[in-house]
Amino acid sequence: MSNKGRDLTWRKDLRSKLSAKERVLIPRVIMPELPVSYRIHNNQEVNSGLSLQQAILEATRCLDCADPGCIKGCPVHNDIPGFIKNIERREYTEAIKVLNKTTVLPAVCGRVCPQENQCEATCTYRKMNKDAVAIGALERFVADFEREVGNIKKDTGEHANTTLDDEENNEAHTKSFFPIKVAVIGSGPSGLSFAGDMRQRGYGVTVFEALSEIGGVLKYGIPEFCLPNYVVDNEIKKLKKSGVEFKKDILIGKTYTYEELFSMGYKGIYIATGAGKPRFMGIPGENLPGVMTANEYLIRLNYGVSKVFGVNSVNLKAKNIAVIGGGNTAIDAVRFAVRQGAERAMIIYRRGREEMPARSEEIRHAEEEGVEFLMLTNPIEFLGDSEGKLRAMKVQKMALGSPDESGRCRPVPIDGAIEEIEVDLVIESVGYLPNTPISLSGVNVSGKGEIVVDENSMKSSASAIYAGGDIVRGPATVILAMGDGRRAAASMANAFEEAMRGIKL
Amino acid sequence: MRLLKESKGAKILINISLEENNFKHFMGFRKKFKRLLWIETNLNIEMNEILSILKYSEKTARIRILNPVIASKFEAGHFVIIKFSQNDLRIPFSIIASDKEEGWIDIIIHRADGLEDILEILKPGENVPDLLGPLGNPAVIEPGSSLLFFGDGAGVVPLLPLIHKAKLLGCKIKAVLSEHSSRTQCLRPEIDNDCETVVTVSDEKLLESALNLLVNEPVDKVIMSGPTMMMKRLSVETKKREIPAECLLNMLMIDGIGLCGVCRVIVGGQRKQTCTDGPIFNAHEVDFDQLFNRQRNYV
Repeated sequence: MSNKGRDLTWRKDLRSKLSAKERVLIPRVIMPELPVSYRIHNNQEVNSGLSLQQAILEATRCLDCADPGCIKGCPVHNDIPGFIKNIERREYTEAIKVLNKTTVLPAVCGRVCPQENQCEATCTYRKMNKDAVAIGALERFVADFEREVGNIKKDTGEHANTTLDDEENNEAHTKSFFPIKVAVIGSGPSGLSFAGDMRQRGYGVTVFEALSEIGGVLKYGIPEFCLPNYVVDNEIKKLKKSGVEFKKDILIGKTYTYEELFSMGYKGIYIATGAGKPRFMGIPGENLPGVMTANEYLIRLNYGVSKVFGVNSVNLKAKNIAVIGGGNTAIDAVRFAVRQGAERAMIIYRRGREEMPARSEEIRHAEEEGVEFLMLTNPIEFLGDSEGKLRAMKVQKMALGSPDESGRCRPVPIDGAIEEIEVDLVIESVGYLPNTPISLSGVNVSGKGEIVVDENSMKSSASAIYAGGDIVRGPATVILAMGDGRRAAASMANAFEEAMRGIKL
Repeated sequence: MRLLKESKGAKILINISLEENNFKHFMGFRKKFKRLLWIETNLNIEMNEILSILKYSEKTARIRILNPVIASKFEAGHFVIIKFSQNDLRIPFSIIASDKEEGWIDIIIHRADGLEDILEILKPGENVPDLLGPLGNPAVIEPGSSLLFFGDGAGVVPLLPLIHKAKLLGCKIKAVLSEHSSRTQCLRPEIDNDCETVVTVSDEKLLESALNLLVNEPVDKVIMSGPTMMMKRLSVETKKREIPAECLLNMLMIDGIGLCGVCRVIVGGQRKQTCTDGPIFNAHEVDFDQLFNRQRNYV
């Protein structure tokens, strides 16, 4: 975790070019965004990414500290100064190589990680009460640069034939070094990161996905305007190229059982099924047509079809749309509602603005796009009209009380403060439950349905079954899920190597 | 069909054309191998091929799809989720029959709301892009019990495998089916084959004749499938007479694995999802009014 590459000559040279005092004078870069009036009419990605000059200038801000907090703040321990300093010296190929050592999804993490609570929170700039280095934007820049430019050449103009070399290296990777194959259940961020790591170590990897698209929550959950599908597809293509096998439309537990996986020759199984089962509020009127889960809304829109073979089954273009909840999913849904032409798109959240768990950037974007935020408001009943369709929503106004265990203030209802809000469509986004594996025996599962694993090795109570991501920790972030995948890969590989050492030839 | 198998370092590529003879030959060839090898190799088969389309009428067709894995796991009550083209949502269909040896499953498509173009698009020899299954829980049928099946309209289709299973388990089977449905007509030979008594009546007399049968000769269980309000009325009547009743729900689904909550239904005061908890529920506990209201607004 220490800043290993810091003593390299080129890093020393870079540091001597500009003093720390000069570096801190540079203001933090502002991520270019699509104008509001344009972006609310389409699903294009809102953040358009840094330009080359912006990226280099931002990279120059990084002080290359002796004891970098950012690496510690990152769940997968990316060598952050390592790749940033490579941007500063215009060695983008080197930068992506640094990132590839620890992450398989840099383009995804650069976009959807809550950096303000992780790497950027522990940046040295913060201690000086200044804006942190835009680590996420730079990570995204490097990954995008690799994808878009492909044949990366040095700024000096001389062609460093790097792509060709890289492809040869990839060829070498496709050979499996050990005749051992492992199965991954779920192709979300955790599964992908595990698959990438195991493949790098020379194991055969097959990823099983129940839905018809590879990518899990990155595809069905996160909308195009936050994380375009081609970005995810590109990362999956890279994994495919390295030799990872993907099998869609296979629900493990139904199509194949876990026992069958072992009898098919898989020596280890990594379960990364995630947490996608919607939680419901359990209030009257919840089953009225017009009340849907965020998953339903997002899957319909993300898969680009809101119809069942020709006929619009549900009107997603409602006028008054209320999204209940304050997480990232809720914000995604409400921003989608804006893009669907809603006249009034509302966020209904029972606590205050500060308590919202969504990323601050997302909240700001939603605000700019004209989303109404009804804070300290809790729905208590959905009301239907004479035809049985949703008409309105009864809400209870709340006040903030004393902080609870999570440190957030507990909302307390205000007596008699009940209002009625007119709505055509309500989207519930009030949390998720784990997708507990189907007919899996011998694995300890907690009361909530989460798989119990050893914290360091990610190994479950059954032999050769590991688990990670949301199925272990409950709804969390992409990057934490990836961290689990990495740790599980490391400990599974260790276990295999130990077993192999034990075989007397 | 193409089977790519890797054995002892050498790659054997077997090309078998789709003609029936060759297909049978291939199946005989597979029997020589152990099941384990089969499972391993069929991961590499191009699956989901449409083997045949049997058109019962202008509107109804029986489609046979090659998928040895689902065929080998099929039990009465299971369903599959199919995406017919890249740009469609996934639609659930009950599996009607399967052949474990030849590795196919049958589904019945009716050209109803939302499925207008489907029969023109599908052609034998082509692959269905996505086929997920078997989903849902199999039906529980007591061997040797006496059963009354009640089917109306499209609801008759998913009853077929249940009737067949009951027959194999030596049950006494009676069936009350609606007369006018084209779907009932084409399935009649198969149903007649398995049932002791089959009564087909016009829609208005459905409930009445079902109740007559129940009064004359009590049964151990009623299994019903059809329009929601029809199921509600029959469920109320059976509850009065204390006859156990089960209903088979046919609902819209998006993912089929419990993520979206579209197929939610209240059973015994609890929220259940048809895709993961169903599709067969105790009819006396289902909140049909709420179900009807949801179905009315979702096609």
